[in-house]
Amino acid sequence: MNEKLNEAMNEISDAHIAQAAAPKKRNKRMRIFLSATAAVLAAAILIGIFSGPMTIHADAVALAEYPEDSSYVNVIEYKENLAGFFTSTLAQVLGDAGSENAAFSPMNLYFALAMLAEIADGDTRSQLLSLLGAAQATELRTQSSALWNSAYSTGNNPCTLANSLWLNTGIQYDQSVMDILSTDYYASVYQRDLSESQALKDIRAWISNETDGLLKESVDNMLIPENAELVLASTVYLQARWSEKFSSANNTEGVFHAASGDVSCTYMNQKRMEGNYYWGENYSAVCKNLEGGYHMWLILPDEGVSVDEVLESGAYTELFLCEEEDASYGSKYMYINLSLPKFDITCTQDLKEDLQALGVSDVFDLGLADLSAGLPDNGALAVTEIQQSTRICVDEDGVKAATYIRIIGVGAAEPPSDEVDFVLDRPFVFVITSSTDLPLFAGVINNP
Amino acid sequence: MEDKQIMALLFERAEQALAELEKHYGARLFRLTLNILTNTQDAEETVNDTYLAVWDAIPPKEPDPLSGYVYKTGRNLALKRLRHDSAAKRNSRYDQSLQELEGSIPGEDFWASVSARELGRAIDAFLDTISRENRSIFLRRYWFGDSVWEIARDLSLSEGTVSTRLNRIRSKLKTYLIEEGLYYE
Repeated sequence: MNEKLNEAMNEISDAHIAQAAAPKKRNKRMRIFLSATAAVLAAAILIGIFSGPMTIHADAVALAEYPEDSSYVNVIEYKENLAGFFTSTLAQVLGDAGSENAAFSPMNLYFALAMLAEIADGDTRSQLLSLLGAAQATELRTQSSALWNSAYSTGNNPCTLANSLWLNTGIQYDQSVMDILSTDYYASVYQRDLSESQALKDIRAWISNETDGLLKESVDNMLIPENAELVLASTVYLQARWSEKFSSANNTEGVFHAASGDVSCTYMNQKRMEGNYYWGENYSAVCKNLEGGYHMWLILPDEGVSVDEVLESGAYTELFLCEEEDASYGSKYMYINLSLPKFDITCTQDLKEDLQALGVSDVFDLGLADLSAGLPDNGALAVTEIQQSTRICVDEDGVKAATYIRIIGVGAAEPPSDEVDFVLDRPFVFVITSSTDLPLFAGVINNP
Repeated sequence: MEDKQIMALLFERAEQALAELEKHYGARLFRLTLNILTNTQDAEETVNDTYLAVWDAIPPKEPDPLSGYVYKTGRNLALKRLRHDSAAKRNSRYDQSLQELEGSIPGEDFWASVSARELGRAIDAFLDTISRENRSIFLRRYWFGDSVWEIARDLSLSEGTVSTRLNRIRSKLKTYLIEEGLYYE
């Protein structure tokens, strides 16, 4: 720190400081979203819990009150606990996609599992806590609440998270646990006859509303099995514009070297973008900024290295989960000529097997699952389905003619000059992080 | 409640003054101390220390405006804590913002020839020459250590606008310092 400059800043008058700190007077005119969206993302997760039939009634059990906007929350202290969860789930869920694209919201899965851990007890809860990086439920609560508040944002570039729990009529529940879900997880809890068609309509409407209709197709295909006792729905929705937009005039049609053979796609190009170029043990990467403090990390495996190898090693997660001084990657500030395929992908994945592979198994076993903390006196209950639908669209405005950008492969060594071509023309990984550098969405593009 | 009423409570030695300080300045003060210290617990403790320091100083002091005085006290306490805590993490947001500012002010010769007070007063005078909004952007970035994104959000501007304005203000500051004879290119 330059002590003299620091001391000089102490000479600034109190009046100037007071004025600078005063909140801006709100302009009552409504702000209009002018340009097209650069990235629109949504993910919804559904967990179905089933058992034998039960009886009784009721409606709203606990209702969440959402803040007007996020408060300032520091999550640095939680990152170490969370790194394991993010790295392992990213590798497990996005790996082995073959020639398909894959998309996933780690943050969405985190909240769904954290809520499940609140309801669970015994070994079922321990397995969930272990994956979520918390020693006990109270710690999980503090961590989840901090995460939620650090990610939640309204306004021009919203990132909204929402949770809801739908109990079948007749299911017994512990009101204090439901209150925790509404207070610490911002989840609304309802009790309905889940066998009635209206319940399915309501849940579909709730998800569509929270994801602004982006997942319409998967939501319309969603069904609730006859013996459902509980449905847990969790959504993350992000809409953010690039800080520096791509110009459609610079788009080019080009070849993408997919695993299954060459395919053609539209590249969005940006010449001489200033920023850091990163290189790690098996990848190179650049970060493209989005308004609202979000970032999109574009991670290109080195020539000869597969996407699965990069995901498996997890080294790339240092880019956002690690403090720069502790990280092993190299970086250089330079001009980057970026070519990014335009894409709009939707993926629905059953996460049950992935979670079992990560050590969360009891919750799926009717003989072992213990959900008695939140749902006591109900007999055997187990999770039978956990499904996440994610849609990620990345674009610029419109389409026009083109300039041509050269394609080169970039290895793991420091780039030779002050300018680099970063061309994502073979399978790559992307991660979209919150303003606190936590992964909201991630995916693998195998075929744009 | 306005600054004047909080001052009145401080003069009456009414403990409600502390609650009012927290209510009016707590959030901003926490962000400021966290930008410097990077640790939530240290930041929270420094915020509490700030209230006590303000309580001890007023009366006899009668700062006007009170808010500027409160933030300055918090900033100084946070910097003091940073210097005393050798384990404290450097490269905080505040550090980074100062580096950004330092980059636009001249090299080593300059730092040897001018005193901190002289430079500070020149910067303060310079701030009177720019618009209120630009002043706010400059101070939020280089005095409070806020990120470009936070400034953009708080002032309803785009991040690109905030970055461009900061570049321009720094460049104007450099010209101002040259014109004032503080340094020569």
